[in-house]
Amino acid sequence: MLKLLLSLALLSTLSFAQMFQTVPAQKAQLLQKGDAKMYCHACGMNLVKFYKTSHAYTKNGVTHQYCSLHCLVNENLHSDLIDAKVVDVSSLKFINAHDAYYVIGSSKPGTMTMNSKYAFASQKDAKAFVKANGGKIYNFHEAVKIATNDCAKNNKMIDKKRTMASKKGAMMLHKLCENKNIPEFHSFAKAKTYILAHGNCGTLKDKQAQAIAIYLVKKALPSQVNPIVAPKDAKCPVCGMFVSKYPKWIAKITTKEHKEHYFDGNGDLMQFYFKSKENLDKIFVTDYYNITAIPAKEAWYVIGSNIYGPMGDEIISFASKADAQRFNADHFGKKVLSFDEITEDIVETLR
Amino acid sequence: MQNKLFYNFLFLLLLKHRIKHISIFIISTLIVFILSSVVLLSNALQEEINTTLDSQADFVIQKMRAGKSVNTPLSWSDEFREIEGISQAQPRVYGQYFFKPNAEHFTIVGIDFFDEQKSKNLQKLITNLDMKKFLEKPNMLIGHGVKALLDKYYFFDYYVFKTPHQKKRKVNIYQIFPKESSLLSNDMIIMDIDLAREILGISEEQSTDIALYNPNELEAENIYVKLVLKHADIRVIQKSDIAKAYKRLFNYKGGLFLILYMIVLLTFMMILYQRYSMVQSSDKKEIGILRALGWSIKDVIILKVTESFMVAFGAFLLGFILAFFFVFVLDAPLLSNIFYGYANLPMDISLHRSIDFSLVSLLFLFYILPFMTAVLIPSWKASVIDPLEAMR
Ligand SMILES: [Zn+2]
Ligand SMILES: [Zn+2]
Repeated sequence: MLKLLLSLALLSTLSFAQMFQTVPAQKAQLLQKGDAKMYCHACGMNLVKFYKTSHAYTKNGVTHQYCSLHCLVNENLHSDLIDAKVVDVSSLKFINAHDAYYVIGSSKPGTMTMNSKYAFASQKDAKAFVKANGGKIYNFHEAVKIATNDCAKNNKMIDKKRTMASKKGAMMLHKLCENKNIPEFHSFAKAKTYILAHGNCGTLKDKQAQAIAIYLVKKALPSQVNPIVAPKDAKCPVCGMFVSKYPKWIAKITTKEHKEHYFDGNGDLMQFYFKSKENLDKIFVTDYYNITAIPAKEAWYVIGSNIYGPMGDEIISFASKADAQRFNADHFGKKVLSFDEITEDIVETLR
Repeated sequence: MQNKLFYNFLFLLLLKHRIKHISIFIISTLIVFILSSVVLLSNALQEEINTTLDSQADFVIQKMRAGKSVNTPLSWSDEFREIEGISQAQPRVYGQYFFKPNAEHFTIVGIDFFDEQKSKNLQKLITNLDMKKFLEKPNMLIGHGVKALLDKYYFFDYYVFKTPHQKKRKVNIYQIFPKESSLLSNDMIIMDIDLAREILGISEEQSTDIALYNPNELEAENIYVKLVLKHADIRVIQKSDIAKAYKRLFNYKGGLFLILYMIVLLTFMMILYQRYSMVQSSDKKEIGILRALGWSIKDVIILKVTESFMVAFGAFLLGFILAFFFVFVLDAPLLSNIFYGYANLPMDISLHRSIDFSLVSLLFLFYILPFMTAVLIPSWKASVIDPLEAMR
């Protein structure tokens, strides 16, 4: 009984320790220079906190350091990565990445990815790590290939996280920081360095500075996170129904004369689009998964699925092709189409 | 018929029959009061449940081990974010803290104060908070129950928590929840999420559970299946499950009250009918005289109806106002216990003063119709008798 209690106590101490990637600050090597040297060049995350997955890359004599293989690959997609370095988890020293043994897919958490990647100088250490935590051993070339393949998936997850963080960051900036004249930033690391030095925010935690940095960078990007909102009395010009009752299905056309038409589904929108003699300007449809406005011509569509709109069979719209394909598979759709692939005939068969 | 004469007569009648009227007035007021209290309360509760449900997460994820929920790894929330249709995955930190001196539990709720707060009451609490000051030092917001207990042990400004590793953690009492926010329960302590982690012994890589949000409910079923398949030891609680539980409880009680209504209404009609059908000889005489004076049956009935309508309407107004006061000012003592007293659901109630006017008019109709019928029939009976016979 006592033994059980003791082991429980030990377990809980272990679980309360810091993140696996983190090392004491004095043990972390920083290879890059400048004010922002503490932070990943791509994402701005703290390099000490994510030290064990750290990479460095020297191009044209300038060294940048990254929190993860993902950040390295994502920022240098078409580079040779000849002069790349990685931290050896055993010695915590940087080694040439091309000589490293990468353990991929272990149970230890990954940085910027669900598929964790840790590097070792010796094959023996890598094997021991695999034995303890699972995963498989690869060389750098293979690891880069895997990371490149994971990129799209990781970026999607990161983007969802950043959207959340950005909202928090906006509030933190508003509630904590006295400096209200903050310039625009395109680099997370630079925004973070600036806010810590000149933000007048009191003592910020690393997480908080990161969130504010994300907000400052995201603010500069165009965003389409808002849903289409139809006026209460707007009626669909095709079927005559009140549109605002169906927020999940709203589509909108603005003519060159700034006249607005609202539709209770993409089917009606398309009918109008093919028949209308007006000067159509902007067209927006609603993303099925997030209920946000997306430009119709950049959207992807699924027909013949088992999800029905207010008018029955619908053409369902998505922000990305991957989303549309996923939906098509989940909901027994017939086809994934781009805007230009939708013909009058297809629209007719829906009626 | 001159109007002045009519009103004069009406007034005299009311005065003359005041004893009878007063007793009917009292009964009616009581009936209206009971009926409208129930209606107002159930309506307000329904509204409350709807808003509570609105702010709920679409899914709550727990990790199960040996039939008990254990801390959920944070990596799970990253996994769930990958599922199409999930817009937000929010790890939550809360739990019970055992207060040894009194052998009682506090509920510690860790909050990321910069997160979008879904609960309205939390939103309210936080907008008035100086966050910079609050987060500078270890601070907490506590309920009245916690305050009373801490006072008992002379912790007026702070309390020293013990972490599971026997480390002492002094936390200052920053503020006590305002009394009216009954939603934030009495035994609750709100603090920064990282501080709560430390005191509850939840590591940075874990959380108590994960709340997921899904903007399009058409996708809910699909997401549910995907979630369940992700892990063997996962428990997925759907918003619709919670909604169903509330509804089941409410429908059951709603039905019970419908039957009660009927009984009350029936009794009411019977009392009225009895009162008014005892058309006393003096009543008969009155009607007879009026008829002899040349009043038509219609006029007599209008007079009688107006007379009792004034009583009925006065009673309705008074009863309704009393009910409003009872429900929204006093928070419906006793009656509210019937509605949610023994429900095991975490129902935190703060009643909003809202009146649904269609409901009020319906209530009025259901009350005034039986009332007037009960008056009309006996007075019509009396007025059609031959005036000579009536006066005899
Ligand atoms: Zn990075
Ligand atoms: Zn339509």
